[in-house]
Amino acid sequence: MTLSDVWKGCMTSSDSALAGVPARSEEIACFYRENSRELWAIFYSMCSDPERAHDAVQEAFVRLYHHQGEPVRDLRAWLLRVGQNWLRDVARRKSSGCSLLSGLDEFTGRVVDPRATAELHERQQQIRSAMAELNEDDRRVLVMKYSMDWSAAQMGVVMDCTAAAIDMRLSRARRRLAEILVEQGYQHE
Amino acid sequence: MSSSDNGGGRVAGQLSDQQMDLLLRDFFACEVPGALPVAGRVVPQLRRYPEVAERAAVRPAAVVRSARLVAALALAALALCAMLLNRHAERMATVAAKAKAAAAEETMLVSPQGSAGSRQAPVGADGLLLQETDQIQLAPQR
Repeated sequence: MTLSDVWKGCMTSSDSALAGVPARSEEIACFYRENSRELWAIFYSMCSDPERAHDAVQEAFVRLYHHQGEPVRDLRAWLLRVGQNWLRDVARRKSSGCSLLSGLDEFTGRVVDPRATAELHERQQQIRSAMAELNEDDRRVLVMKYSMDWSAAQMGVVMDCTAAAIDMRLSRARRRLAEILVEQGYQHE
Repeated sequence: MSSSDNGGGRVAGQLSDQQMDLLLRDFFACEVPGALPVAGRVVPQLRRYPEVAERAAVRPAAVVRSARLVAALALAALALCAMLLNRHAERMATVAAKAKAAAAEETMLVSPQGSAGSRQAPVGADGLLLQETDQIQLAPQR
């Protein structure tokens, strides 16, 4: 049983894909299905890089799979800690590896317009850099709202405040982001 | 905050809240890696991330402990109330019994003529002053 088999079980989200996978791997695969998106959102709000955030998620789960020490009591906290440390290490090394165009994999096998792809990439990069200029809490609410589609009540649990406060923060964050985009000369179509 | 459109469909000036909402939805539709599964868990588990990630392992146990503590305190309060009520009832019963005894003592007549009204008033034709049972003098008092 190789790691790629485990990841196949994770990615397809199908029980049949997990047939033959050891129980521990199945637990990790189930945990991945339920929590990876939220972990990605947390790492993304830290680094504002979708690829790096995805790498942080994968790195954390790979380390969990290979973990041999004492049993992990709180998987989410453990994965969060590992992912955060990995992001810090990467930032410290100032890795400047080539980053793929976001969403490029989705075009595999399809005829794509290079110009449209480049424009999409440029637009994504502009918004990404504008989001990086927001304060941490504003960025978090936007990420939770738009990447995970959480309600204000759900976000209030995470941010330890009321749903009304979350709605105000969302409105303020959108307004602030709009100001930054205009300052950066963003052209909305 | 409203936007102003010019003829080319591009917005000069501030984007409206609705426009920002659409922009962000489109942005994250492309930003989130397609390989990530759709979140199955609806209720967020982390109280506040990532600062309290270190305490996340402790918090569930703490919540259970605090719930048990509240339940234990409630039971103790109920027991205390029951004990106080019981004592009060006993005290009331004791007071009632004493009152009854005192009343019985009061009605314990020593005058052959029945209830005698004031104890200080003479009750007999010979002017004998009736005292309480335990104060009966051997010699009459005038």
